Amino acid sequence: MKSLLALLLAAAPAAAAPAAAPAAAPAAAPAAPVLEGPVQEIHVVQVRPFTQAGRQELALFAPVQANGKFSFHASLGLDYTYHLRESVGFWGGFNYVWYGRQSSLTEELINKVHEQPFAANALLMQWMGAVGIEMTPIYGKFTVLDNKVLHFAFYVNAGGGLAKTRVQLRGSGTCGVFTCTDPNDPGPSFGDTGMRPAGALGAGFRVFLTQRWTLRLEVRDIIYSALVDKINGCSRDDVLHIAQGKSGALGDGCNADAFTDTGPNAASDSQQKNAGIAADQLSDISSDVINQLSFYGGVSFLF
Amino acid sequence: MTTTRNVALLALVLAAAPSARADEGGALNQAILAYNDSFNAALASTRQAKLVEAALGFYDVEQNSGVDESRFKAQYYLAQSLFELGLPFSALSYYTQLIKAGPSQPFFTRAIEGAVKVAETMKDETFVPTIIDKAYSGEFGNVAAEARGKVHFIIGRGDYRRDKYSEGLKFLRAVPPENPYYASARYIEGLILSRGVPEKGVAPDPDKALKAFEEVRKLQSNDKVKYVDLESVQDLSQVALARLHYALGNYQKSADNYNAIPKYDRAWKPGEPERYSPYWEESLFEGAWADFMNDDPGGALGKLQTLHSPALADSFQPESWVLKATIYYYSCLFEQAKAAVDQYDKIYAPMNETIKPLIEQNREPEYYFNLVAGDQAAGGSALPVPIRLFLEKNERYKGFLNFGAELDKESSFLDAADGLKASQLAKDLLDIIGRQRGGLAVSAGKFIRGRLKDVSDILGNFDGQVEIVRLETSTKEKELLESNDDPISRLNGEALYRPVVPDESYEYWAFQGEYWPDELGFYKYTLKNACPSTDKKK
Repeated sequence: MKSLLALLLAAAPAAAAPAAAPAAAPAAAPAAPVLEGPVQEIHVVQVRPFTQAGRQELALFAPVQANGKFSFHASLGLDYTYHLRESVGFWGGFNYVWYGRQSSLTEELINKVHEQPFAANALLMQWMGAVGIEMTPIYGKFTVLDNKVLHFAFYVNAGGGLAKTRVQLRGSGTCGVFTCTDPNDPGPSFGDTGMRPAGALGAGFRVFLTQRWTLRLEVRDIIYSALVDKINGCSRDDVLHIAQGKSGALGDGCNADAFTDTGPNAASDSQQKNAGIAADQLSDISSDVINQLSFYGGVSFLF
Repeated sequence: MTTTRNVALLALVLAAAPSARADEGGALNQAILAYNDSFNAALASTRQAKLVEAALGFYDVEQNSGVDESRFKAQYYLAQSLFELGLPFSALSYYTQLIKAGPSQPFFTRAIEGAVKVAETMKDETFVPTIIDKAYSGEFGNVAAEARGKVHFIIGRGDYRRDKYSEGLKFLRAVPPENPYYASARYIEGLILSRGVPEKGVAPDPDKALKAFEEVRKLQSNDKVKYVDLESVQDLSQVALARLHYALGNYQKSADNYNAIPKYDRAWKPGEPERYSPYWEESLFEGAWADFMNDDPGGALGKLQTLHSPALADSFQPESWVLKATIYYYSCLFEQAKAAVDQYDKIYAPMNETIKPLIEQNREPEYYFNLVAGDQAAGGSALPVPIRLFLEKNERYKGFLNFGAELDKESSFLDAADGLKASQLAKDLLDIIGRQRGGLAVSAGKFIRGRLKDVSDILGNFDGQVEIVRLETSTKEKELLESNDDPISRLNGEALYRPVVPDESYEYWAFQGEYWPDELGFYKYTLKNACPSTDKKK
């Protein structure tokens, strides 16, 4: 495999090391000079078989969270990149989380020891949008399958944007990713915790399959602040009122109806129960900075 | 195509009946009906059967008719039927009879058009051009415009090959831009203008030659005309541009044009096994000369690095080692120069020793033909691989092979086709094909022997050049030593830099002894120069 630091190359003319000082010669007969180093070098200055500069790229990802201690996310991501130069580009991306739940560890804590992480620690992301910059400092190539040469580029990216968040109220019960074992299980319930500023830091490889198609493999850390002081816009006092079934003035922005289940298995008292769980989660106002580290695997199309 | 063909058929039906005798007319009309029916047949087998029926009918009239007009008509449509059956060489024998009968017979121009179609189908550059060249007269003005343009190209190309530049130019310039051979005609016109033969009335005109090559490079097929072999002719024009600039001393432009010659065959697609353009190896070698003359020894050595890489190890490039030694000689890197000529001795000196006895044996032509065309797997050839491959690439040799394959194909068809096999027509045609096949092997064998002699002469010439380089190298090395010069200190004082990377559409790799297929053609040397400043090549 060959790889090179493109940036280093671009910056440094890479002159050969200066000749070392000659050793001190004997006083009587000066030694014949000895050739130091090669008299020639061979290089490759190759027309890039795959170019990015001036091209646009659309990438489709299937990110899967790798560090899911209290939560787990599986998403679909769409990234757009404009490659200003071979090594510099601007990107924008949108991630839609199609499966975001508290982790099995969290469920186990709740079910077995009636403990749960602070709401901020188990905050779930619903979607995220970000824009940023990408640098491609390294390119390389390797051979596969009877000397077929595959070119790749290593890139890093960084960006910022907004993430829509929520907390899980009722546990997943018998419900897995797509179905519930118990057909009467109402499944998990969620409470909205609003928009949060988010950042993204990523590093990955772009493997050029053809002039237009590339394979993308990336690790991206999505960082977002988590401060859970309201759920569905309701403070702890509000959710206590709702949980106790009291009718009365709720705070501005508190959406009591959002605690009511809407599925076919929804219980008539779902609002009170969900609000009760929310009250527990708001008993300690929590905050954290979530690092959601995910593997991004996908393909992209250059045009 | 269908419309044209139908119009021709209608004309045939209308014209046949009143002109033939009653008995011949019946046979001729029956053949015509079968010929017409063949175009309406949905199945290939039915179509073939109809064409065979028509051919046998036309042959019968052609053999037995006492009326010239009927005989000529039968000859022409027999040729057409054979052509439609996929037997262009067989068809050519009847077109030739009509052409030889002269313009007084009514099918003269149509026979010319038919012969041109045969030449295109068989990619024949020998037989049809000879027939057409001999028959050319004012009557050719009646040939359809497109076929007439093709005829002018065929004659012009033939004149060029026979060094009849002045006549050739006239014919080539008569090929109009809307003719499929216009690109080829302009290319050959450029070649003639590049060289010129003042004593034959053609002065070299490099400016016009450059314009011709540039024009060919920009041509594009369109709805009105599809130029024949355009990509190949454009690549050839690129090579011709590079050569002409070199001849004019424009070494930078020459090098640029050589660099622009594609590495891969036009039909090659990424992911497929490497298949290089037929002009690439030549462009590497000649481009190395252009780089060297352009004071870019690093570029020249880079191209030679590709030429001497394992991927091109079987390429026949004896002069490349002489050039390599010369480049080092001019940089006063004598060890490297001597290593290059030693490498020449190692690779090429034994080759000449191998082929010289083969040439001197003066065996029958078929032996020489089989040295190249014979089954290499079954025992191998007596020829060194680079020489065999060099001969295999020869266009004229390829022409012999194609022509032989076509004759074999027609022979097999005539031996097996229902209704046709065992007929007198098939016997006649097989006899013609058999005679042609025998003559072809003799011609090809003689050609191969001639080329082998050329190769031997080339190697002998370079053997001499290598000795001169070796002598000059030793002499210059001795002179430098005697002059108390200190090349080692000078070399130690020089730095080796990386070559310039022109822009970000290029990428840099260090060569670490591995030959990556995608890097071939992109090597660049940086080298020191041990010569005193006054000796350095300007």
